[in-house]
Amino acid sequence: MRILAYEEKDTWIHRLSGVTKLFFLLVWILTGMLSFDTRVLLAMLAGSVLIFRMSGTDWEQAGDTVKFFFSVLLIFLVIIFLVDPYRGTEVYGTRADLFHIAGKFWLTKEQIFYECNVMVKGVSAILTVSAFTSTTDPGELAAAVNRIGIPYKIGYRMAAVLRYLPERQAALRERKSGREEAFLSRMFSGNRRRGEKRRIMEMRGYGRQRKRTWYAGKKLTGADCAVMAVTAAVSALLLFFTFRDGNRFYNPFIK
Amino acid sequence: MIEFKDYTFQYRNQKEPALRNINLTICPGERILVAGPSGSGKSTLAYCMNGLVPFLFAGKSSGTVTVMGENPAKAGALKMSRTVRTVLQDADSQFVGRTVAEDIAFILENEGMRQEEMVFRVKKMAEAVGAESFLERVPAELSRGQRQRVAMAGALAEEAEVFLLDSPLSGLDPDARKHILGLIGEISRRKNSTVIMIEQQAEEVLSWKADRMIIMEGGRIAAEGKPERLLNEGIGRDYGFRRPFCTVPSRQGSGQAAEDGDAGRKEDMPSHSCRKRAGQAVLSVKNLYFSYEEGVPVLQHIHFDIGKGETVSLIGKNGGGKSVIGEIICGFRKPARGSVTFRGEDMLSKTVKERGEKIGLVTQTPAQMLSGGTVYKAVAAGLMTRGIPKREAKERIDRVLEVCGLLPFAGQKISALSFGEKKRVMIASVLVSNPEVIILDDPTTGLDNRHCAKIMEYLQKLKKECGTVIVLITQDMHLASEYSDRAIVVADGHLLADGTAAKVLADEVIVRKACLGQGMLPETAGKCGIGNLPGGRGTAR
Repeated sequence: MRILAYEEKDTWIHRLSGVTKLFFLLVWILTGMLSFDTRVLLAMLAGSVLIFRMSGTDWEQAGDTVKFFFSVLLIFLVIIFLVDPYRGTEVYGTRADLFHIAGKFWLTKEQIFYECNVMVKGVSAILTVSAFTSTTDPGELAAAVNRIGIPYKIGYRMAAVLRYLPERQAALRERKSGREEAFLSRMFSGNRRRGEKRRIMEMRGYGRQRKRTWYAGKKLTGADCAVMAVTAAVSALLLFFTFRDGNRFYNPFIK
Repeated sequence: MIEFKDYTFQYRNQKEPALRNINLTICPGERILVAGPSGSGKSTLAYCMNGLVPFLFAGKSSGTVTVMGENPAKAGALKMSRTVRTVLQDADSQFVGRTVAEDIAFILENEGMRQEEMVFRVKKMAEAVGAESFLERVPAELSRGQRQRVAMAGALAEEAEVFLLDSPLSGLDPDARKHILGLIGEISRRKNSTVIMIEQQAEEVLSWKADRMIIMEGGRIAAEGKPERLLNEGIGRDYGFRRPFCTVPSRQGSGQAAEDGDAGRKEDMPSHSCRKRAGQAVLSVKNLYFSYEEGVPVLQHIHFDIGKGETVSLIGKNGGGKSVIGEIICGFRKPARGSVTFRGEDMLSKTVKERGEKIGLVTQTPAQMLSGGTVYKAVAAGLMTRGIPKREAKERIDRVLEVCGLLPFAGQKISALSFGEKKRVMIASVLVSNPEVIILDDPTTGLDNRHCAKIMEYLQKLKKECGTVIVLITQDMHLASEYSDRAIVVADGHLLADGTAAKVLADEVIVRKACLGQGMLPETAGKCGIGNLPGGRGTAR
């Protein structure tokens, strides 16, 4: 089955703790959301592609899912055009019509540029999330999150999201293809819904004590701290660069 | 101490109570064997003890049940987990770990055990159940028997006051069964735990020496007493429990012919009209190779031909790849190399649906193939051939429901059925379209003797009248020796032997390599000084 899921490999990213990767993911996405400076976004895109490559994510395997996300992104771009076709002109303060589509819908240069920015952000995010998913052992993530003081039940839920991601993908796939995929995907998904799974976990002792240990836990290393520090620094730099001219946008239309 | 006082329980979505007026006292340290036909309430009894009723299985109850001073219905599954360790019948549904190691560690993690100690304990448990070679694997890639071992390791990783084991030996080859029984014995001895085991097949469990055996039927306790007494008096047989082979020779020796009364006389079997089929090798598998991932071969160079009207058993130790062969033939998995042909026609290029018209597969776990809806609907859905007039379709469905003992359940929702009943629905849904090849993966697990015999008789009839090819993938040596002409032995992904059942099963070298454990008949025969038994048939149970 070709799905995006944790693959045990030996890359430097894999060796990092789950906390580090989570930290990176959150900071990266936050920076991407805040900034609308095209130069910064392009740099981040380059960074995302690099990280994706270094994560060793197998395109053969994850390709389908990533392509699916890209198509969702495309649909999203169309929708935001339909909802507010002149957002670009508002943001950049000019209007250069390219051609008339229909009714009140005109395609403007500004809107294209605006949506390109959105697209770059989206692609960046998709690549980073994919790299995160394929390099993070859910159990280890739960352990790491617990270790920094977050109650274990929250950590476990996060890990569960990661763990059952492949099955959700398979379930989605099931609706498109035929019986084969349905068979395989349902085969080992445990056949139980979330509420029921909770009861079975309790039957096996989950929640018995206030504290919980983890088989898959890893200790934070120097490399982890270094990566987190670098991430924070780079992010701060990017944001500084974005906002030093007073707003989050890079405006090529006004010179 | 466990005590049921006049306890009745009815599932919310069922019309009849699953347990009726249960009066039962179990003392600490006792070893109890619970048996009975499928649907008799065995698993329900377990759920009422560990708190899954009513939190997971809703319903109403009357009477009382106390387990170690707690009322499970009030305490809940979490609180009960302190004293009661459970292994569910459907072991797959209780997996929570991403890898085998993580799953075994689950209970230890919840106890807050130190990581180093956990790693050590997990390794020890894995070795104890024979799972150490796949500690880092994902459960989905293991065979049923391997997953069963993992489930057992997870449950036995820590001592408990009460062990509740529902069909712990299902899916395991005879050697593994002996092994796991030994493990259960060893762990329960440490803390003088109470062990309640629900099993339908007597043989190996007898060596476990239960203190008491309880036979259930229709939600009631039908018989209770020492296992040897109950089995020798044939009481177990009346309730669908298979009498072990070793008691049969002694009865035959005394001149008493043991009848197979519950299977139904052959004349009463519904007849099945069909066109006679011609042809040579019906199913041909050549040079089959399969692996889940690079470097981990599951099947290597598997090849065999099966002719019209043959009944073939595919046997061999856990994880040997038997189920995968069935899945490849039916199209649920693609082989890395090799071919599968049906009457000379290549099957690998066809879809699952296309193959389903000629080759039917009954999988190991019912949940995989069934969706919601009623029993009747599920069986009707199995009728793949198009263009059948409604009346004939209904006749066929009814016939097949009758054979599988499902007529009284025809209108019930599948979700309300027991494991064994669901299994029969699955068998019925495959039988109804009368494919030319029927592959049954692990048909006896979850089924009691009575139903199993009836279904096998029907299959024999199909074989005689229509030349249907039957492939039994099984660990059950009785089934293999009694019903198949031929036995194909697969071990560690390789074809080990292919010959008449009696010859293969009597060959010591093969038996040892494939962990077939011989089964008790040859062992008993050996002890009595009888040489190779001819044919393997005609031995009444």
